[in-house]
Amino acid sequence: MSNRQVKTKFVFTALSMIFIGILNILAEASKQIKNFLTLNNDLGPYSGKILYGILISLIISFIYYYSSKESKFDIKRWTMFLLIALIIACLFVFTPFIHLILSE
Amino acid sequence: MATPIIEAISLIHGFLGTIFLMSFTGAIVALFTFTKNRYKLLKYSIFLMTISILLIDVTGVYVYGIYRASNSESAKSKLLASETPWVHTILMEFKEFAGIYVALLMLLINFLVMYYKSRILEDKNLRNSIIFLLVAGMLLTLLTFGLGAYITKVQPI
Repeated sequence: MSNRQVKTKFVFTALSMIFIGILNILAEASKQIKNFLTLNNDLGPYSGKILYGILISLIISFIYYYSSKESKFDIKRWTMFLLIALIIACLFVFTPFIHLILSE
Repeated sequence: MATPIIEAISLIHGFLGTIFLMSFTGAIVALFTFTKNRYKLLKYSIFLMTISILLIDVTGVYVYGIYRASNSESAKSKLLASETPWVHTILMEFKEFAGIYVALLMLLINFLVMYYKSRILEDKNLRNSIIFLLVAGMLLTLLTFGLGAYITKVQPI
């Protein structure tokens, strides 16, 4: 069985969550980015955050898949990596934390 | 005042959440009985959870568009003008994304279950990882559920 496929899926999930969070912070930091992320007027910047977050992660995951080699797969470590990514991503969409890092 | 269609979609949105919670029970039972013949229960429970969370997100995005309409009668405008704007700026802002995170997690779990098949029920590390991921997704879902109920109570759509 190919471990690369499983690892890539973990990478995609973690990066999607983190990039959505990063785009959320960037939208809070800059009005121009907020406007750029507004792909749909009804949904506002939320539309771009989700779409671009997933697109960026897809591209990076493809690069990861074709550049990585088969190696030992420790699911415990990858699960830990994903849970840490989830916590970071949750912080990135938690408004008081965003205000803290933007020093507002 | 919400139209019947919006109310119906909001209702479906909540009802799908109940299906998600019920399917979680099936998945946990399968994972804790340690027998290979429980694989089907695990597979279908996880599949149902994944489908329901995707539908929850789709209906949620539809309702969100109405929630944040730019007119002064929208729920978001009313919340921001009220004495409790934090209900939108903190709670709703978090809720918007938490549902997407759960969907991403569930897609991964579904992939793992389809990929490793009944090995999940035999391999301790695999099983524990699935349990951890499921519980993380479940906690986030419960939080999202609670926030949704609270926000709707404070300001109905």
